[in-house]
Amino acid sequence: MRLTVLTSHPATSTVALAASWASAGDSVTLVLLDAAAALARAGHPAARALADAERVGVVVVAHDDALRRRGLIGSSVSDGVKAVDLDEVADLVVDGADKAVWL
Amino acid sequence: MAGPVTFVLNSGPAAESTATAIKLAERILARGHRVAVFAHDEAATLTAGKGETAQAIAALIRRGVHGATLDWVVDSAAADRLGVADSQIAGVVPGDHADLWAFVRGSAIVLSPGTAA
Repeated sequence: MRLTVLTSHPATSTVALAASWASAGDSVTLVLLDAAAALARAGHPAARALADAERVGVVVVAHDDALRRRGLIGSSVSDGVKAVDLDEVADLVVDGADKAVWL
Repeated sequence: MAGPVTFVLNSGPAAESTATAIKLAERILARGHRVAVFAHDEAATLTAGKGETAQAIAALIRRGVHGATLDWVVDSAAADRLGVADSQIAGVVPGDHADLWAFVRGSAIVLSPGTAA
């Protein structure tokens, strides 16, 4: 199943949940919105959790406006995290997934 | 995708996640999908008065008249409690949690950013 997981809260529990679903065989895209975009900062304490999630197949993307509001551009964003605009997020919700959830 | 996308909003206009949810709803409407919003707690203030957020939502509701439909229901109890029941913009429907349940039952996707910290 294709899952899109949106999150606005900088909690690693959501990252771990996405990773567990991917480990179980689902195709998971984790979308970091709002305060959760801080998780994408290179060197953030959650970087290990994000890397672990990516290792089991979670695709991690972050809202470009949320990154910009936090001064996160270019090399300040962790490798493997792709910046996306809100149109791409909308596509992930309505077309790119069988299920979408905002945690 | 079958059925509308429902947003459940709890926070007021100062919450970053609420602003994101409204913009995301706009993008989904623009793709021709039906969108339903149930606003309770502080979110009842989003559609009150003549502020920037209320006017943006009014524009979205008007757009629905010409294409994809936006249903925006405000929890009456919250609006009463916050003193904004009489200042809601045109097109907003006062309702209760029975409406929320109806949205949830009829929707393909239900999204809620939760309450801002």
